[in-house]
Parts: sequence; C-alpha cells; structure tokens
Amino acid sequence: MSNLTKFRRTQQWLTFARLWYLYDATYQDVFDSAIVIAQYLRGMNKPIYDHVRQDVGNHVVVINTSKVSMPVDEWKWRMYSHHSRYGGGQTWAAAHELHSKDPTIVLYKAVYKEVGSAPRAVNLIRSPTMARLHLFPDACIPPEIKANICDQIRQVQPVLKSLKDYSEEEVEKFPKIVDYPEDYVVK
Amino acid sequence: MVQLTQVLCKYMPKWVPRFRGSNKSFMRKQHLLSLCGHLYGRKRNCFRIARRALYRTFEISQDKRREKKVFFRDLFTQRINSACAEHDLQYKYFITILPQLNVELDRKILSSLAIWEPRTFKSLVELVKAKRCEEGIDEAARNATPPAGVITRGML
Amino acid sequence: MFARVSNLALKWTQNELKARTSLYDSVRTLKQIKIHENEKQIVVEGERIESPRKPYLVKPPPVADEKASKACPLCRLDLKRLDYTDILILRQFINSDGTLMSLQDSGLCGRKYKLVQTLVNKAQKCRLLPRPPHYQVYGPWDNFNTYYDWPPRYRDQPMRVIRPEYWK
Repeated sequence: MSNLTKFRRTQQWLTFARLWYLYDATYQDVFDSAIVIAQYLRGMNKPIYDHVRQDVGNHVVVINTSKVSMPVDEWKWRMYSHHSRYGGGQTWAAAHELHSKDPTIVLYKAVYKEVGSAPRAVNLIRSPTMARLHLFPDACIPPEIKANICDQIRQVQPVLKSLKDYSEEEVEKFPKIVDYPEDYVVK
Repeated sequence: MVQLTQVLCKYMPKWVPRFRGSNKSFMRKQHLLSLCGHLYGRKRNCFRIARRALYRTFEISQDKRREKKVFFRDLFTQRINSACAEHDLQYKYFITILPQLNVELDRKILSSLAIWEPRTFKSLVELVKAKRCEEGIDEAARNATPPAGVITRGML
Repeated sequence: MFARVSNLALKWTQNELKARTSLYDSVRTLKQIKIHENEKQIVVEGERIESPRKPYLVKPPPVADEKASKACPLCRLDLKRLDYTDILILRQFINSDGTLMSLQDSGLCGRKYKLVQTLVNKAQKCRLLPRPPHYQVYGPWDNFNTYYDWPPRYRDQPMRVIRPEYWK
C-alpha cells in the first residue's frame, strides 16, 4: 500500500487518466487538423505534459474522414511514396487515388508525420501513440468506443454550407439584391 | 577492474589484497580510470585513451548543462500554453500582459501553478482577459465580454 | 487548441446583408414557359407571372449624388468581403441549372459581374453551388471536398520536391 490517502490516489488516477476526444473532420483541412489531433494524442493539451518521463496522451476518435478537404488542386498534386525494399520498388500515388481506395489513410499519414516530428524520445512511443487514434470514414462509431467519449475537439475551420444545406424557405426569403428584368423568361 | 574507496579499504579484512599509497602515479591513474567505468571498450581500461575520453565527457556534460535551461524553458512554455488553451486564451497575450500588471512570475512558477493550483492560474488568466478587454487592441478583444469578478480602476 | 483564423465565413457577408434589409415596392412581370399538351397539338406559352423576388428586395441606401444613384445595386450596397462562401447572394445570379445569368439579365455593372463570375466559379469548384450540366471535370480530384484559403499558404513545393517523371 502506498502512503497516499484515498482522495489523493483518486486524484492521481483522474489526472493521468486517458481521455477520449471526438473530432469531426467534415470540410476540415487534412494537415491542419492533423496538427491538432497529434497534439491531443501526445497529451499536449494538459498542463502536466512531459515528453520524456511519462506518456499522458489521449485517445482521439475521428469521424467523417471521407469528407476531409484540401486546398484546390492539392488532391491532384499531393503525392505519397511507398518503397517495397526491392530494386525499383518505389511507387507513387496521388492523394485522390489513396483517398478513393481508403478514405482514412490520408489523415492517418498526416497524423503519423506530425506525431513523429517531435523531439527525440517521442519517436520511441510513436506506435503506441498512433494506436490511440481511431479513424472512421463516416459517423458510425462502434458502441464500445462511443461509450468512452467525453469531450470534443474544436474544428480548425468553419464548415462550408452548400446550397443543399439551406432549406427552400430560407433561400426564398433571403433578401434579394436585384429584381429580374422586365419580360425575363424564368429558367 | 574494481577499485575500492579509501573508506572501504580501511574496513576491509586484512587478507584482501589492496594497494598501498606508496606508488603515487599509479594511484593517480587508478583514480582517473575509476571515473571511466561507464565508458565502452578500451576507453575504460587504457589510461591514455581513457583520459581523452574523460575530458570529452566533461565537455559534453558542460554543453548539456547549458541545454538543460533551454529544455526546461520550452517545457514550461508548453505547459503554460496548454493551460491557457483550457481557458481560451493565447499564450503570447498571457506572457506579455502579466508583467504589465506587475505580476512578475516566471515560467517555472506559472507552470507549477497551472498544475498544482489551477484556480490560482485561472484568476491570473482572468486578470489578463480583463486587461485585454480594457485596452481593446484587436477585434476579438473588443467583442469579448470582460470576466466577472475582476475589479479594474475604471470601475472605481 | 486554437482554431486557425481564416477569412472563410468568419463573419459572413450574408449576415451583414440580412441586418440591413428594408423592402420597397416595384412591379415587374416575368414570363414562365408553360407547355400544354392536347391530343393533336402542343402549345408552348409564355405566361406572365409576378416576380417572386418582389417582397424580399433590398432597398439600396439613399445617395444625394445623382451620378451615384445610377450605380449598379451591388456597387451601391457596398458589401464588404463578398466571398465565394456567400452562396445565398451568389445564387441570385445563376439559373436553376447552375449557369450564370447574362450581364444584361443580372443588372450589374461589368466590374461587379466579373467579380460575381469568379466567385460563382469558385463556389462551383467547391461544390457549394450546383454545377452546370456541361461542367468539365478533369479527374476524380475535382469531386472531393476542397476550399480556397486566403492568404494562400505554401506548405511545401511539390514542383521541386517531386521529380517530373513521377508526375501523373
């Protein structure tokens, strides 16, 4: 038995407990949101963060990864390489090719890069850190994961609204700038 | 090779073979080699190589002593940053406005406050927020509502 | 953690327009094409209807100068930061199939028409507005979610990093 009182021991558990965060990736930039997600995975949102002595990372559940966005034409020119370790085994694929095959892999690779870009010792705990990332292409989460979620991460961008997202009444009653000209044929 | 300290030499039984203090240069070399026990290969056994390696370790540890200050400053900065983010305040405003309010706490104290006394830290954050509302430098500061419970000079 | 502050719909121009809405009366008649089918003949008729926009028109701010009163309605409103995300405004200048109205029909000056044209093109590229039927899609990358960021950030330089033989 430790010398801690019951209260202090519970406080210790609560301080170092791994929290589960939810992140909605609809219309979010892949690389900007990867920076934020990596910070939460490594526990940099906590004041007790220490990257040498202890691992205080969180779990992050990302939903709607198939709806992530990139700046215009970046889907086309963002390339990913893979080497099979045989001669001439290097292959290249664009972001849209990877995304159409697996809608979670683009975000996974972006987060993987951000987690590894930390100073020294974090690289040793990269794989356990990445194991705490849960990616889902749509809003369906298994109930055992959904039960753990306690908080939400703020999105990095405002979500764009398309014309379908507005109701017909809202579109019709919105103030109009110009009227149709005389004898205009409605199309 | 294990060398005994002088204290241990004194209390060892008499049958243990040990060096007497007659050969001074030999003892000096043994003393240096005892400092190199953690090194690898001939650096720990051969005197001429061990001496070079030992001086190198001194240089390295001197560098590390300088790096240590930067390292901890970064760590404290990161901790204050995350603690400020909990209260929706940016680190750069927090760290620049506090000395203007004559609160001259350094990063080490602020980070330990954030960990051990979160409510004290929150009161500091509210001070900074009230100051920012009062000055109204940028658009976000002007639109924000000042936190309740902070008495400024304008109220009196 | 803080959200990146971007100009994307921080404070939408749409909301600004909504705030200063005041209505005025005007009578315009439009034509709507109606097709009647009988057993022997098909009648195509241009039926006169009242403008559906009439009750929701914005009254432009009063100007003393006579020259300024001749400016186009978008110039007179002087909306700040009109952007491609303000689709409820841009929608007023496109037809139901997504094509842009002509300059004469839109009632704008040339400069504002050009602005609206670029913004509508941007909104259609990001799939915020319906694309016209013959909109050219060059590849699957045009169908994923995209956005325009301003100011643009160059996170890396692919033209230099990736050798040209690997470009597809």
